[in-house]
Amino acid sequence: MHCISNRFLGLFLLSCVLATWGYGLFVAPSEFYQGEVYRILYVHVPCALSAFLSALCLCICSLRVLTQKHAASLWTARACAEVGLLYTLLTLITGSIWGYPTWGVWWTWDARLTTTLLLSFLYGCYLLLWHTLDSYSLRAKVCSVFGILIFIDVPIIYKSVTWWRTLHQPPSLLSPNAPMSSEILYPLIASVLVMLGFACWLIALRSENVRMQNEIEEALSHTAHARTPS
Amino acid sequence: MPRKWIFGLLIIGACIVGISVITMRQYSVYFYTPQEAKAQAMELSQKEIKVGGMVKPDSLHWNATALSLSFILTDLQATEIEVQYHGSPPDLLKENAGVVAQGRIMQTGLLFDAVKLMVKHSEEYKVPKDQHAINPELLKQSMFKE
Repeated sequence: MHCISNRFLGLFLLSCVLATWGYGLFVAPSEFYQGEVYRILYVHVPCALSAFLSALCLCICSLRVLTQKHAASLWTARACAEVGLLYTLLTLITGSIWGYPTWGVWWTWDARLTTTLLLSFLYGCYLLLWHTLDSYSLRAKVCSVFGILIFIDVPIIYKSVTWWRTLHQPPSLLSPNAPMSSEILYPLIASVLVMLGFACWLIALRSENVRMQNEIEEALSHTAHARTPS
Repeated sequence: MPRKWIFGLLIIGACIVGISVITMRQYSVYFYTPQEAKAQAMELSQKEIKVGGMVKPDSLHWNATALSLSFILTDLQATEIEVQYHGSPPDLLKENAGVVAQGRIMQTGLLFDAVKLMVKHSEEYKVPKDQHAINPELLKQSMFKE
């Protein structure tokens, strides 16, 4: 029952995400300066913020592992890193697709792009560490400390466009200058919120899967142990 | 023990981040302003650099058959550099647009030979006025005389 309700929630959130994409593609007005190409905003910004949210969840889970010895949080932490990696890659890909028609280049080594690429590497390193370290205690220590450190990159990515000269424009959301027409702003906020919800659902689903996978592996190793003496 | 670990590593991490932020601020500049580029044109002419500024109105000249483009890059104050480029420019390169040009500056600081042009836009997203006021029926009527 729990599983079914979960599935319905996921389907609901996914259809909400697709609805906001459809709205952005077909209903939202075109933009004064960029014309139609700006519509990828409704995918790019939600993906980027979901990647940030995953880093925050990873940080919280890692803190719980270290301070409260909460073992199950280590599964959730791995799920956060996987979902975060997915969203970071989506951010880089959609950003690149947006960059070519507007900036004229697919990629440039400015601070925003470089720190985002760094985030994807950090997620990758975390997963590499997670899978390399077999013993629970070592994994809990090393991965959790690393998982906390990853979060430091998020405020750097966010502030990179105000700290340094970049090709990437400064943030439009949470800006005091009200740089967005409300017809563009409100659908964007909606698409961000449903995508964050979907990211949370993905993390929950994946951590449940990782936990079950681990239970099965443990059960199998127990039966293997039981068999060897006889 | 774990708490010591966290504090220690957080301090190390914060130090790494702090140092890299400070050094990046000092040494790594994504692009020079026209003023900086002109002032240091002697040294900068030795290597490929990026210069960012605005396209001065009425200065954009595009020769479609020769694929050559030239415009004046300005910081909207006193400094102006003429930029020459060969190839097809980005779609959004217009007068008053922000542009980051990559290439070489001449020693005099008056001319910039660009190999790549990138357009920078702001965080503004505005809906053009009366966008929905266009009535497609009118075109249809005049087309088919229904």
